[in-house]
Amino acid sequence: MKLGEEVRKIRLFLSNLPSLLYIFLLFYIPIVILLAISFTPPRKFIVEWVFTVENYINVFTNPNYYRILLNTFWIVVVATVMLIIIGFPIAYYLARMNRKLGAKILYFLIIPVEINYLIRVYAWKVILGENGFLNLLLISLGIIEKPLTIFFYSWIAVVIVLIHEWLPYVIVPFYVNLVGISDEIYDAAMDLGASRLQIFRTITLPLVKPAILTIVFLVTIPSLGEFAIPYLVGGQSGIMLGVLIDRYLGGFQLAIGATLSFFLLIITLLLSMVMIKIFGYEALYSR
Amino acid sequence: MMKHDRIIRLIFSGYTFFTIAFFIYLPIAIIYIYSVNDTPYFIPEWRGFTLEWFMAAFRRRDLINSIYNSIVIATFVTAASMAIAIPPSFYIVRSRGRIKNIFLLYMMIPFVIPWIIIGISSYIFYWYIGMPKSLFTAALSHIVYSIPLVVTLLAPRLYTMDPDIENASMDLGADPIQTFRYIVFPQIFPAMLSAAVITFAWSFDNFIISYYTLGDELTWPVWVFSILGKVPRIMPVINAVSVIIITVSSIVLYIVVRKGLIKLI
Repeated sequence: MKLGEEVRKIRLFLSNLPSLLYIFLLFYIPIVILLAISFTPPRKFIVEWVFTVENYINVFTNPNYYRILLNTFWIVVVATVMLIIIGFPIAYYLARMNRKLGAKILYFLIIPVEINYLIRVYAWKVILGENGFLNLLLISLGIIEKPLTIFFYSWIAVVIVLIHEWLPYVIVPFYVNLVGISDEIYDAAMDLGASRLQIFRTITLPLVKPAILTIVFLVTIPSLGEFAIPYLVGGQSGIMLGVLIDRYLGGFQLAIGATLSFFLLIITLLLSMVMIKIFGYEALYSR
Repeated sequence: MMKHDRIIRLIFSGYTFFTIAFFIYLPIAIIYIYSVNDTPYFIPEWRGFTLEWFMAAFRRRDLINSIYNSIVIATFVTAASMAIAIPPSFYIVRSRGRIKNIFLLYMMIPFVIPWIIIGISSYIFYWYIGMPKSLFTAALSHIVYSIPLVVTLLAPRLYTMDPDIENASMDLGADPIQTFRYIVFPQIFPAMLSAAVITFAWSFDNFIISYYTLGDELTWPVWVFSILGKVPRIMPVINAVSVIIITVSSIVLYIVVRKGLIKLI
């Protein structure tokens, strides 16, 4: 029986081989090549296999890269914080105040995601653009006289579009978490005389912590690598790392493109490690 | 106290509806309106009802082709990643210890980094090994992400399965394939179906990985990107196609949810 147990364990592990190999061949090897190319001299159209740390020195000393890196962080952090502030009350309302509607409205949160986000980004142009609805509205209300250009081709547009794109992905994890909290806990707290604020601080907030983790993985990290949104609506102030990487790749300057990509990889991995430290390995899959 | 509660409820419900309407549905409404608005431009003006853009969509071969390519890739990616990702899902749920944690990390890293990194490393990889980029290379790179995606979707649902039932089946002489077919599969079917739906939808809609790994044949999102703002009179056509996609997929989603085939949560 003991032997059978061992055999089963080994068999269970061996069944992973296809996935292990696949990820190795098509993910880890490409990453190693990417890393190798980041240590070659910055050339156009060719890769010269000579070891150098020139690209890294470049990235660390060129203030332009700093600016774009900081800009990327700024936009993504603002968007994530806004998403949590905007999304949490909605999830709270659906999960704790109107459950009947909650079950239905989730369906309506998923529908818009079915349209490719590039097209939705473009639709925002009609709303936020120079001759868009928002400007028309503000002018007709007499709030402004000339159309504002701050809404489009700016970092604000990037943030608005990111909020649009990710709001369903923020509401759903919060909702799932909040729905799972049993009413008895709240009733008990009320009976014991806790105030609304106390209940919120001591019961609700600690219990939604896992949702925050999901949101970081689902929203913040993908946003860090976003390039289509800043490319389409960002203009000068909305430029992000993804746009820069794409520009170098488009000009077939692989070495610098690879260096910046590797930078992005390290940043996101560090962020993931922090998350795993806080929430444990299970955080990676049990949502 | 009662009155106080009512006011709070009202504020919350008003806020919820306004936010969802503005942030989520306003652009969708715009897409619907401009798919039948008789103007090729995004101007805030109603020029009359037309179905011209829908007709034009069916006349464009490149557009139809890109949708077809997206469906082919998504189907292939879904089937392949399901087949590859089911064993690790079981392994992760049923083992403990260091090796499992290392394995988990190994599998999940492609999942917790931005897609652009998968796209760019694949782009460089295919260039390096001299493999011409095509629909196939794009599908291969999609699977890198969809394997861990399927694992995250399946694993939480496997906790409730009792491994003793499978062991009993094996002890009674069934081979692993029979055991999977008659014991495991019926139990995980609902979870598999929803994982498949999500994977298909993700792959169909993925832009960034496809953008770096496709050859001459384009998928729907990449085709849209390649043409956005560059070809006159194309935006309403794209809107019309979006309306078709959203309508069809909403109906399909509604039916499968209604029939209880998949659970949204």
